[in-house]
Amino acid sequence: MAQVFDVIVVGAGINGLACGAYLAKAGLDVAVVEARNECGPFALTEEIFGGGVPIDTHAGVCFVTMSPALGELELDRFGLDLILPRVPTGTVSKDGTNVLYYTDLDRTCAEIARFSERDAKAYWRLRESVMKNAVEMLERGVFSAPSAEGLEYLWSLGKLVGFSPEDFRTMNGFELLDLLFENEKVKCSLLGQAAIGIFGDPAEKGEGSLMTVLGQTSSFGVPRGGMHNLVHALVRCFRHYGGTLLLNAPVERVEFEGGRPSLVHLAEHSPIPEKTLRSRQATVIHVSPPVALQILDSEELERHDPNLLRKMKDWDMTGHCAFTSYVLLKGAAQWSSRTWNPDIQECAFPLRAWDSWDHAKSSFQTAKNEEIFGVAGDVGEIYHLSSVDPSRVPADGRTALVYEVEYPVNMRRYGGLSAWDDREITDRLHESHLQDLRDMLDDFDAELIDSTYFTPIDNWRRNPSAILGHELGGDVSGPQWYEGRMPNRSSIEGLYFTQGVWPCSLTHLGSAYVTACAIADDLGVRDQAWWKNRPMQRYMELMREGSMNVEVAP
Amino acid sequence: MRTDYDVIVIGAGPNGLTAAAYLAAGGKRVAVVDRYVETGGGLVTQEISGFRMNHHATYMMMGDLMPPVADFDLRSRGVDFITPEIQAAFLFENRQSLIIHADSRKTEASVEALSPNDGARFRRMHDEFSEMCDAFLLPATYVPPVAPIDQTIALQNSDEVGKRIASISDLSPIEVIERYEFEDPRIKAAFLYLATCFGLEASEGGLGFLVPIYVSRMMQASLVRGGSHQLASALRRTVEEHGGQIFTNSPVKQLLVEDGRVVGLDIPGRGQIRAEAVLSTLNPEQTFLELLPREVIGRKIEEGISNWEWEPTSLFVFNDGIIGEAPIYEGYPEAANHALLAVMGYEKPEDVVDHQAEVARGDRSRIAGHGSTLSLFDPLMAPNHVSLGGPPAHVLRWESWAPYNADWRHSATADYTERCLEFWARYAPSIANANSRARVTWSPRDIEAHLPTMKRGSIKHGAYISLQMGGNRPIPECSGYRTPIEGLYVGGSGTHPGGMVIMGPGYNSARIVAEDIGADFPDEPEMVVRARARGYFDVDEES
Repeated sequence: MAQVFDVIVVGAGINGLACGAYLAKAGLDVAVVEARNECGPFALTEEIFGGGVPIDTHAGVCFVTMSPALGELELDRFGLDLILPRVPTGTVSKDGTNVLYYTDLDRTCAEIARFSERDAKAYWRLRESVMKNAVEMLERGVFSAPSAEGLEYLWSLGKLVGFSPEDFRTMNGFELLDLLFENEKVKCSLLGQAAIGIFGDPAEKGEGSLMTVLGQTSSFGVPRGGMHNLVHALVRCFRHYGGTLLLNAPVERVEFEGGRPSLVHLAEHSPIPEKTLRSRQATVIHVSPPVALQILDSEELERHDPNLLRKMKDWDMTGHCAFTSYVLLKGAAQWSSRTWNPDIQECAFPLRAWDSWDHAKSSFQTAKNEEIFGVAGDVGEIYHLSSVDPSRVPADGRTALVYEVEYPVNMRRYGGLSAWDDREITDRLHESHLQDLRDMLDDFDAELIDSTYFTPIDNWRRNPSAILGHELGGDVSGPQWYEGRMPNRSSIEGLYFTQGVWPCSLTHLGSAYVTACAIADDLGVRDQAWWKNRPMQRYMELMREGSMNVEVAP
Repeated sequence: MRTDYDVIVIGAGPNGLTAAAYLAAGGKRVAVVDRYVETGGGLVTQEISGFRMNHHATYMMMGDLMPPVADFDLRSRGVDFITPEIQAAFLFENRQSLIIHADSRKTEASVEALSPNDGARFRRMHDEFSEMCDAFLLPATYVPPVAPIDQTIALQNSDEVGKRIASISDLSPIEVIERYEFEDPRIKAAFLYLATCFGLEASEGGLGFLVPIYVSRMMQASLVRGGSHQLASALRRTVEEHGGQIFTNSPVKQLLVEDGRVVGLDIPGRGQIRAEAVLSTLNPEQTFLELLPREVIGRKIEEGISNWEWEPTSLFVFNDGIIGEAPIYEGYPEAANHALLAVMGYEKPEDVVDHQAEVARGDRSRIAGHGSTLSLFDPLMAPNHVSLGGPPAHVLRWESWAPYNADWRHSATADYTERCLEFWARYAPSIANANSRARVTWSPRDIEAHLPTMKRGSIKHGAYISLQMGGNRPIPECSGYRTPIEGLYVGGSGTHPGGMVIMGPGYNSARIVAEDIGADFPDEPEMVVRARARGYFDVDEES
């Protein structure tokens, strides 16, 4: 006799958990099954340098302002304490300058004006028009399942920056930035900021222009004590509403019964005694499409939805594979560019974003050419979280910096994927990352206690769903963009997806939200007072806390 | 008196969680507080790059015999013990070996192959040890202790098995092994190692009764599928399902005392919580000398606890997540490649005795110990969902005695780890070519840093010497889990029957607390009922 649930979610990543939590809170009997012995494989806080210095080894910041889940699941009640930095992000150049983004728009514009008065005005206009429309943009463009009307709406956003839908749809991020801004440092910086939100590829037409605009809606929060606290809060919330969490439960296959994927079979080597679970109403797949293909019955997919099967077979997971370097410093990082603007010392999440605008343009082509060493250190995310969260700093003052760089992953020039396990190659990449940090920090070598790294393949080892170490469950561009993504609600009764969907599975928990809404609509449990019709209410509150003005579109 | 809970348990290790589970299931309002972010204490499994590492507790001696496993149907909560058929391979320098099987007849054959006359001696030892374990030693784990003298009298007045146990109790481990007169010194060394690998001192008198347990149970050792922490997870869930609350990140700084009675405790940042009873599973020094003012505990307890001795040896463990084949022990029989433990470096009993003595005085120059490849027995331990066409992924785990007083700073520890790996590779050359992806060492200093209750890396919360065992653990006044301080109970490894993941202290102390506060408690395990019937615990209450 199989244990029976209304809904079974396969995969306890943060979006799988959040989807489960929504549905459990809505009154359904939900199980989340996870192959690993803990949840949130990419929301980890680990003491990789020994005791006392917790390090977020993967995701480091929450797209806090964009998250309906934060308010609707009341994650603060379940122990998530988000710090809203005064200087959430910025870009740092090796020439000793920086561009910092404050929660205070005027302050940001004053910084941009040091490079170009004209660009400061242009940035103010961009941000103003985005913020006036942000709630509608997020509700219709991000926290909704893709649709033809949705896409039409997204192209209409060109008007916010003075372009027709046709122009907006046919320009990439480089062109848009060239048309709006003059200073190359400002342009590099804004391109870097745009890339964080993962709404597409900056070098692709339409995707690049849209992501530059959509990216302006986001800001970041830092979970006090480490990103894994987000996982703990989600688990507590899920269990509070009666959810069942099964760890060490790798799914071997999902069997169809009467055309519905309802029997979830666990691997024989799982310690869970009951190896088969049955979902009455919905099975939610929160693993990447190729892994989903391994567990779903291909013949059933072929019979019910051959297009979906083809999409899953062709799914590309080679575009966002991270190689991350971790450094342990004796004290707080001393940024060389603090002489330019000392507030870099409290910037939570600075980026390194190319050395010139031409460099930025060529860098994208170099990456597409799979030239590993060609793109080493061109652009990267730096997690400088001890600067805003004192709980991460032990009494002796040691701090950690995390430097994450994305690489093409195939390694064909070096004999294939096994090259990622070749220390000679990976040590060289790591050394190039250390050189970047050396170029941006004072006394780096004197301050450095220890360093280490995880390759894309190390990330795959820790997260079975993250094939090749892909961070997002698959590329977000071209045929895998917007309507080309996996469906939240598939054409097969009872089969839903939360990975490979729109928006990406990130810390805004958007993919969980959209899929949970679809399931709740289908099962008739959506109409609940706590489940807001306007999901962005919490967003507005947080933007106001950060003193950014948001207006609700009528 | 206003209370928030009926019982607060300090420490969410195996004993704290066990006690909390029984008391919550018995209908009481229970809180567990632990300083760390996770529950489990020494049941710690961490995953690095997909490699699961048991940094501390790994080899389960008691497995299904632990009462909570049956009482709470922990199997249904995901606890699955794996008992490898080949338990240990003692590898000797001349490429001979002794293979210990879970099936004693096969072990007997291996002993005989090494030394023809020793097969029968092994059979006698095995059968006597098993009989002593089944009749008394295992049941006694789950019964509150009686005063040592009374216990001896009870055993002497019982049957032949009881008398035999009484006769070895005063002996040292090496003396107990010597009684079987093995001809081959390697066989003596092997069984002495099984008896002492978790820190019984080979030459310490008064520990003889522990030898049958350690030797027998280390020939039936098991792993927890998915990692040792899975056992803690199942217990935590049991506590919570019975309404118990667990507060992690909650270090206790002091106990609340009113009119000489313990009434609760204070957690920094969370405030006071009050309860009828507080059960501490911390070490005796922490419980009495750190959490309570001197005037409350009184001179006698203060003196008794001040004399508490830590173990003279601690452990050094590293886990190494590799891309490479599991160790192939070249020149040794195939069985060695499939053994749970590969023990290396002990050719004669003196090697065991001397190694312990060296470590006890801070000398770690000799390398000897055992290696394991847990991913051979449990596929969940290594990330083999990733295959790049090369060799598979495995987790190597090394464990050996180590001194607390030594240089365990970063680079010294890394050098020492390399020495251990080089030594291991002398037996299994393939290790030298393995590609290490994730390596984590736990020196005695790391044990203390992660698990401060294991002061000076003392894994059993205090030395095993006759003055600290049974009815003397931690001191006679508190050995029955009650303390002279009203409202305060003790139930960690610093009480009978002591350390290791055996759940005895948690189980026994919970029974005592349940008696005092009126909680339901399940019947004693069948083995205890049988032992009582044989008179092993018949103590004259007047004496």
